[in-house]
Amino acid sequence: MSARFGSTATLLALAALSVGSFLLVETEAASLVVALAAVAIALVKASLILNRFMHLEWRHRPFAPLLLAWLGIVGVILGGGLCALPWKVPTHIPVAVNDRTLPFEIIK
Amino acid sequence: MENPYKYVRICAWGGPILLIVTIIFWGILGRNIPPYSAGLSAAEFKAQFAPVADQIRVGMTVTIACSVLYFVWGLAITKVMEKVERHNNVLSTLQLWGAGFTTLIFVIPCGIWLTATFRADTLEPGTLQILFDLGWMIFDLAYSLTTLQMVALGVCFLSDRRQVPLFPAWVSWFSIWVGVMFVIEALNPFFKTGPFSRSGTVNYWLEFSIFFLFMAIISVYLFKAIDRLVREEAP
Amino acid sequence: MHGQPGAGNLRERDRTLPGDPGVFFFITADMAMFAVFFLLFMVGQFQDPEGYRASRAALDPVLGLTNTLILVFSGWWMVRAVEAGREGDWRRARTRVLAAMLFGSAFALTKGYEYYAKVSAGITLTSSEFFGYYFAFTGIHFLHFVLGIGVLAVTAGKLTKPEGTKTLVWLESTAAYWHMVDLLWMVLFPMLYLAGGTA
Repeated sequence: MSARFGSTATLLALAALSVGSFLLVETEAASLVVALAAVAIALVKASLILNRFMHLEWRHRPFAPLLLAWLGIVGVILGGGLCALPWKVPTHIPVAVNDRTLPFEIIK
Repeated sequence: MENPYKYVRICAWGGPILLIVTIIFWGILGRNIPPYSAGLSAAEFKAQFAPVADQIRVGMTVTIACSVLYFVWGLAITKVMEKVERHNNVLSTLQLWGAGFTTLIFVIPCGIWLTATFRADTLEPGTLQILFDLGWMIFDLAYSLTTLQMVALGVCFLSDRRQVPLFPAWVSWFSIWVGVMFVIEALNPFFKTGPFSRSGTVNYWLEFSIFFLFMAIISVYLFKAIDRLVREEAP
Repeated sequence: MHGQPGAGNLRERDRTLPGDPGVFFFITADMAMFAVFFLLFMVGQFQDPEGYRASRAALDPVLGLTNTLILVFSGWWMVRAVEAGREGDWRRARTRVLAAMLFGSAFALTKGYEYYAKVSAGITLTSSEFFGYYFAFTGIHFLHFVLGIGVLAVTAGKLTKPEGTKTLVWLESTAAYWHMVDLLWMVLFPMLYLAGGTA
């Protein structure tokens, strides 16, 4: 039963992280935090693929370190890229930030 | 004494030879490492292209003549594939036709670029540029002909039932992967600059690197497979 | 049921089988390609943060989130299919693969709607660098998704006539590919829709 519980718990954890990061952005809490949380989603997913879902750590030995290396590289790319961005601290209280409703505005 | 692999090894040399010819004559002499950006204005393009037209003319003349080697190489691959096929020869035939059509993807664009060099001094900049663009559009956008070859090759060798397959599984998968990755060339017409343009990071540097790598890796394992078949079938 | 007898046999099989890491080679190569894409995007964003923010504002993160959840849910069915396969319950494995396929297909609907909405609003590949990347990356990802749906269908077919270990290896390889499709989306979604902020 533990395997089944594991995958269900994982589903819930991933869904919660996705919704959570989304909500953080929508409320403009902190984009950087969101970005890192989003990377964490991918990390959680990958670690679960490795350990619980696929038992890759012993089944396809060359793959597990490769996937970890990939995650590390992607983490550095995204994390580094975001940290390098000039972040502006909003000085005003954002009003009506949710005006990006459908249909989409045309980019000028 | 009969040798079922007579000529096959010679054909297999077509690949490595064409690879070297392509790098030297199409790439270096032909000024295609990387090609002139689609982002240049017609005048800028002519100013860069016309002074080196003679050099490019030599490059394209040699490349167009050697293009047939791609088909010759493809025949050697097909001969090895036939030893793996069990039910019918569909995959080896598709591979051969894919290689044959890829030859045309060398011949036709090189002919167009050659035409551009022919009257490079007197042609209008816009006309010159459109000829160059035309060559690249065919060269990049006819990727499916090569994808056909790569996927047929990969699928065939993956179905090899030998204890140790003639081509290792990773080589087959690499071939399929390169074939799938070629689809990215479809983005080419939408970008004049950036990574998906004809001289960009992805659509030029990455795609051509993996294509040349494909030719090199397949050639290495092709020779190994021929050696093995010759040994296995020796009387 | 965690220590099912199958697990021990699978370990044995792994030692005896020379291994079929070919699928994983494909997956790794693909993921490497996407890592390059992520790098290109982050460099572009670094050079023009305001432009990227302005473009990002036109993306609808609700659709992106919906697609994330669709893929995660579909991936979960795939996990359970592999679990059933390891227990030798091929019928249940097949049902779960079909469920993964069915729920996964919803991704095509959402993505199709999103593309349609963008294009009808006049936003295309050439609208901005951001949207060039958006369409290119999600398009290539979508291609992988379509291939994945095809592979899932083939797997469901193979599970009607299971051939023991061979079928299990196939099922696991399919699952690994399908996990890659949603793993890539899990990076694409925050990178394109969320991180970096909107204007």
